[in-house]
Amino acid sequence: MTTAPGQGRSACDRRGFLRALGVCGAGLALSPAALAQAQAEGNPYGVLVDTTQCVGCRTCTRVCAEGHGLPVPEDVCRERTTERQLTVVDGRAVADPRVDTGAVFVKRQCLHCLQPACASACLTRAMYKHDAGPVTWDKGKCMGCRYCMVSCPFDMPKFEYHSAAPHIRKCDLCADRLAAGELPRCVAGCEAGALTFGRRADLLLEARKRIATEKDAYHAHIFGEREAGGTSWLYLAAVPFDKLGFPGDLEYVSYPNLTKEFLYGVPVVLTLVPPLLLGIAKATHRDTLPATGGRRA
Amino acid sequence: MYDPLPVDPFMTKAAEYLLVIGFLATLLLGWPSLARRPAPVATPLPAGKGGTTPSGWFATALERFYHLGHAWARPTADGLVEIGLDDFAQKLIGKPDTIALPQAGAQLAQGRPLASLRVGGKAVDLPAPVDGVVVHRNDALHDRPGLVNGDPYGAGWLVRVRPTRWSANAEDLLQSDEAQRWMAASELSLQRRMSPSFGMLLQDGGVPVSGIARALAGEDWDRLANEFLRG
Amino acid sequence: MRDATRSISPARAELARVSSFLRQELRPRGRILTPFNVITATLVLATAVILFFRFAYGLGSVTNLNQDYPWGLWIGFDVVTGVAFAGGAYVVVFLVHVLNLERYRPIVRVTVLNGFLAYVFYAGALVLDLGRPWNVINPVIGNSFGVSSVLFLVAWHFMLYMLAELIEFSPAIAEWLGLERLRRFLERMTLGAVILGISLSILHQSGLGALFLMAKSKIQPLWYSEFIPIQFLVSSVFAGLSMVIFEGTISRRVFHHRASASFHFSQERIVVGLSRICAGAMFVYLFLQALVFLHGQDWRHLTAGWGSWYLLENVGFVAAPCALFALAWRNRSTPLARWAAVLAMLGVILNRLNVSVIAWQPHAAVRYVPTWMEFVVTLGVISAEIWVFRWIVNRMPVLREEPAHATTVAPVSNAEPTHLRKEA
Repeated sequence: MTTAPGQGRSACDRRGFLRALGVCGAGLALSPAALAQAQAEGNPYGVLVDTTQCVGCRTCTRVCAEGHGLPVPEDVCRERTTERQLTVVDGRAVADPRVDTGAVFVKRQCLHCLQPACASACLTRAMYKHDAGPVTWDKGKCMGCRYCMVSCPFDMPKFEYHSAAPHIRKCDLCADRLAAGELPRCVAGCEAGALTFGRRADLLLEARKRIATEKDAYHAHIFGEREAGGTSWLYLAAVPFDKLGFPGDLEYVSYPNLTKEFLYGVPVVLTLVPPLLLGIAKATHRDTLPATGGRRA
Repeated sequence: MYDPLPVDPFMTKAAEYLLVIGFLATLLLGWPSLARRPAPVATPLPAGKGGTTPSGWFATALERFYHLGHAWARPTADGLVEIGLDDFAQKLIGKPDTIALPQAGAQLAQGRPLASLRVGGKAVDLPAPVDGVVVHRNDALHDRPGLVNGDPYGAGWLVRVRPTRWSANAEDLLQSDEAQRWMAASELSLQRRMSPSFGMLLQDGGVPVSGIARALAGEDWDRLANEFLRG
Repeated sequence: MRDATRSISPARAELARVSSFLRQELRPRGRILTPFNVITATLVLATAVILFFRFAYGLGSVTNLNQDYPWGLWIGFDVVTGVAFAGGAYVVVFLVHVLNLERYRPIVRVTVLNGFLAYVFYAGALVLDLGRPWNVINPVIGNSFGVSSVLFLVAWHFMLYMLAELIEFSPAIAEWLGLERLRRFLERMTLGAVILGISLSILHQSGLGALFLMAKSKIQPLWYSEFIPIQFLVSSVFAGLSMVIFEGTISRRVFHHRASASFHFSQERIVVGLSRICAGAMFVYLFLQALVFLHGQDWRHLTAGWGSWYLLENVGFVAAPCALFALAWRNRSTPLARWAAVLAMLGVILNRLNVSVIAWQPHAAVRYVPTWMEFVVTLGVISAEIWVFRWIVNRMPVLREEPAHATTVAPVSNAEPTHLRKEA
């Protein structure tokens, strides 16, 4: 049974789900205590993006820009975020029986990986992964080296190349609103109900439940469950994700793992090499007894 | 549809082992030619001042290995190496008042000071041409230090040593043709410091008893000599 | 009336002597308007102007960097390649101070000086590339240490290594200033600084490669492997030595009028000896490449011209100079060594640029090509470095044959030397 966005699943079910999470409708009593609990339990917050529900209205992009003091974005679909637009809606033409309208809308933004490449790459800890979930950027620490851009497998951090005091721009999961107990702006603003905010473990359960109960509506894969070691933003879709422009060659372990061996080699080298060199220097040292130990006339 | 199966991490292992064996075999076969000392070739001489050519002021002797510090080394029949200073050095320094030589048992290192020649309170160091342990030293020089001027390649030898790194040292020593070219080049570089009249005198065969260095540099002669004998 | 007999302490007298000496040394020597000076001065001036725009209007105003290509010529060439060429310093001090090979002692000082200046100017060029350079002190002062970052390691190693090289070179400075006790003190620290320097070099030369480890999906697979750090380490050996050979041939021509015969012959031995080492290192590198190729099953990636480019880099600019170096050693040929060095350096430039810029984001819609301004700044930085090098070499005892407090000995003109004796 195919599902057209906005219909299908009744609003009751969704409200029931949200109630089960302990929330009421779209207004969420997300207390700092709840955040701290998420932190302590290693179960960060995240967002489930159900692309089968997204209608492509792009309200999320507008409220995001408004909330971050950025100019109102052009009302078009885009493939990639920019240094002026932290989230985009990518409209993709897909010819698949499971897609009624022939188009799938994918909201793209930083995925807030569980072990982000950018945070591990940042030598000043300007890119920082909070235990509660968000990966944020600190302008007081950033040197603008752009190593985070080199390392991110999703190419999410964007640099303001035409500014004398450039920022790195990407989605910050509205960390400021989370701290005040409010939902991220895009989640709050989504009228189609495509975005669900919650604890990652709960979101995964919900995603699996949707796949199991509506087998024909969903492709049996949750993007972000293990890609790049797991991300906080999870995606469900009706078709395989490589058809939707998601990168197909991602590692299934976190990207910082790729530098682990090298960085652990550093203390080893610093331990082994100096004694080795000292030994060689001593062994090849050629002494002379002073030449002036001779007789003189 | 499904998550990709894990990739076998050892798929290419056999081929890699074969490659490494090939590398080690190539290394083993190629090492002897890499480690061998290459044959000397003609090195072009640096140009002299005003286009002059070297006139053979300084003589080299056959069967000797020359160090750039102007000491020579001659392997002897009994496995030792005889060391002395060459014609250039003795003419540069002139007649020494005393020569300080190392005691038997002293260790020498190539390039480090071997002997010290003293003239009137100033000393010039001669660098050793090889690594080794001193076995004999030329006691005749104690009474007649002028032997190094009269017969620098024969009776004026300085010490005999047991060499410890002969092959490695020999790579840095000059022989026969190359040594002659180098001696000629040394002559040219000395010429650059001289006035023309002095040069002509030397050409005639006359050499100042006090040494070329003193004639050139007066009181600072030891600094000049040390500069040339530094190798 | 002033007390004319007031005595000055020895330290104050020393300081006065040193400062007047320094003032005198700061004056330029030789002709000012040479072609080289004019060209490099233009480059440096142009660089200053471009940098004004870069700081006033952002990196995008003078470079072609974009969201796909965050690192361009300045990082890919100045830092990643330039530091490889400065690797001659750690190899040469290893040969002389650890292996005690006296043959190479004459070039230690000039190589360490070159290495030190290279790090100062190229790491300095890195600061020019930073978007928010006022925060560059953050990873230094402990405000915020990103210890999981390879770049953190590389940055710290750069700083510590510059310190080690400065210590290794400082006896020459002390000699120049005539401070003998200071020189002896500094010389005792040499072995320690050398060992520290070599350990640090091993780590940051390979660290430059490790910077790209997380960019697995963004580099064409022929140039990406988990062994990039080791490949960069091995190539830094022959990159550095090739630069030493190449630079030596230039320095020799510029300063040859000061050289003595022994200098000339010892230089030849040095070049030939270094050629042998380069040949060996490149041989090892080639086999390492083959191993990486096998392990990554890279035959699948020899596509769309990348394969030919890869083969060109490895055959034309690694295998060929390797053979040339071996020939140069066999035939004791300095000119052949120089050509081999040039080819090898081009190969290293090619390899490093491939990893960082050329084979980067092979599927990007718009490929990155540096602007002319990026080239000018790169050349300007190199020009400034050469100026400083020249200033130092003309004054301090760096090239072996210049004795300390160099003065050419005045010939005893027109005076017949006394005590002539005819040789029998």
